[in-house]
Amino acid sequence: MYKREEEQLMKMKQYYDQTAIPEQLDSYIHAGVQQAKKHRRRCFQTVAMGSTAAAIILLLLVSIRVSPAFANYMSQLPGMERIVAVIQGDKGLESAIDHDYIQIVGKSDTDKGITFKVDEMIADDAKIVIFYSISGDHVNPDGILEETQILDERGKEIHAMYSGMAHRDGKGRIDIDFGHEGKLPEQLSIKTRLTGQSNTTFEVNFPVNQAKFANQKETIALNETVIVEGQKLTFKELIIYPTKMALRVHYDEENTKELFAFDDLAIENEAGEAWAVIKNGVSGMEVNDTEELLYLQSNYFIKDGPLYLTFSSIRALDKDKREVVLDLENERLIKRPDDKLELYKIDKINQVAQLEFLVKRTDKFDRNHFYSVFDWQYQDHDGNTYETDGATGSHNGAEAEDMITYFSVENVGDKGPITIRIKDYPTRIKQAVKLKVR
Amino acid sequence: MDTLKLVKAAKKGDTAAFEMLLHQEKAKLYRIALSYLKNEQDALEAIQETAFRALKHIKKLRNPTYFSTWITRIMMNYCMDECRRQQRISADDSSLQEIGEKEEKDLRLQMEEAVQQLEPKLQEIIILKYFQDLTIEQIAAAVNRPTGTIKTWLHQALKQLRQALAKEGNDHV
Repeated sequence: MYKREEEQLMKMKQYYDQTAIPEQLDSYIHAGVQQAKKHRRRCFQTVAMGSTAAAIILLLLVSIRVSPAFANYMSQLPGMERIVAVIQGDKGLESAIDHDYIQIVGKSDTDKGITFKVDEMIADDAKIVIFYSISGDHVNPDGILEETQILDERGKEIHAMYSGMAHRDGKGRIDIDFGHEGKLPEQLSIKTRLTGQSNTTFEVNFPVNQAKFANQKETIALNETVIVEGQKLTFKELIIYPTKMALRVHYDEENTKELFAFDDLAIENEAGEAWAVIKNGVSGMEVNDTEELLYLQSNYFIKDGPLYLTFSSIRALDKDKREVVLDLENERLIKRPDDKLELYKIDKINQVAQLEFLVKRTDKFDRNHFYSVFDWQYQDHDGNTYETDGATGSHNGAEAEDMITYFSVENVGDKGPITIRIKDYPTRIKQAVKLKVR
Repeated sequence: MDTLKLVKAAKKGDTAAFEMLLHQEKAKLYRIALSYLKNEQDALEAIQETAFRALKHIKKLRNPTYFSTWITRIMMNYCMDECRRQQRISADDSSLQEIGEKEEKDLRLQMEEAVQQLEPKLQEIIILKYFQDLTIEQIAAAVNRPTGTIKTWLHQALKQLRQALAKEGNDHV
């Protein structure tokens, strides 16, 4: 029926089949793969990234800290009530808004009666925070944004970590974290969808106020080495941006313990006011095997007075105890660091084994804190490396001190025991340290 | 290693396997990009961006059989967005518009232009059918719609192409 058109289409295909493939094609493919790898590996402890709604709510419950005075102050300003709900718990962002360090956007897109609106944004060279609202007659109250793509002025996806939160009362926030080496885009394009709202798609484009947000940072060189329980770590520098502070830490290769995370790292002023680690969003990034950047809430707008770095407790484990070896077939642990870790249950569904472990959190720091105990990779008996398909994460157990941490693996029980590596654990180094930073 | 095994390995984080898969697809992907974007540099950037997006989202690929179609769709989505963006920019800058310039176009260029004027879902069907040589059933499975719908869309697309080409022809008379 459409023979002529079909022939014409075939000719078009033939024409393109004859065009030469440029030699550089492979290097462009490789570059794309490298970008994605870098992207996947380097950040840690984000709240909403790829996890389930339940996990997000759980984390929201534990990590939102209300500052009543601030909430009260903000809610008196017209239009600002809704921001209060989504930045509570981050003193840096509170302070940024306080100093009018914010851009009003007010761009929206409506699809099938639902409107996605970007209200305001806060940005610097290391991070962008976007405040949005969802409205309409039939909005799913539990919906979260999904398949979010954030593009720059050239239409390329921004290479950064995104994290979002379940919105409450239709207000939400998206964090775009560049680590420490980003370039503030001139233009942003956000494409997204809502879960449980079939086939809605939104696209909003807006310029970024460069004059306001570009080149805002202060770098303080530190190079202070500290030894705690024989483990050596060096604080190299503190970079203060309006949206966060980035502390660069180097761990000595000769250390016998792996240092996982600080329980109470903070920057303090003379009066004892503290700026703690960012809890709701991206809280750090691995630079390489021995160096990482830790993100704290920012005190950028407080330019004067001495500052101190303080901590007293680090989660750490002997490097030779990091492997957990599990016999999948007989469902027992062959090797574990100590009796704080127990196998709780295994659900085998088709080819997947969902593992649950019980972790005893006996230290007061662990109450109401959750962390993923395991790395994303595991190995079978023959040394083949796999990557976990499902989410890893943790929730409360029956007793207050119990934390259940889960991890899913392919059911490769017939290939002998599997080995999983620990990346966080409730054993600790305790020593109070206070360093002058400024 | 066959494609299915490569896809499974890539989903488990084996980036070498992923690159091998891309090498199988690269010529086709490049040509599709070129047909949309019309220049080598933009098509190369499209490949890089497609590799990035595909690896980032490979865990969402449910059925490994459809890797080829899946990555083609990622490429087409990027290209369509890129075309729209370029149109936006050139619309802002009127000096770039070649107003009234009527050069003689051969039939292939007319057809290309006509395909690009189709709405995205019809454009996608045409590319999957005639560039990727997929059957109606394969397209239906790939875009998750009944075969009846695909047939209707294909019919619509061809009809619109005929109309567009007829109009083009008249302009030159």
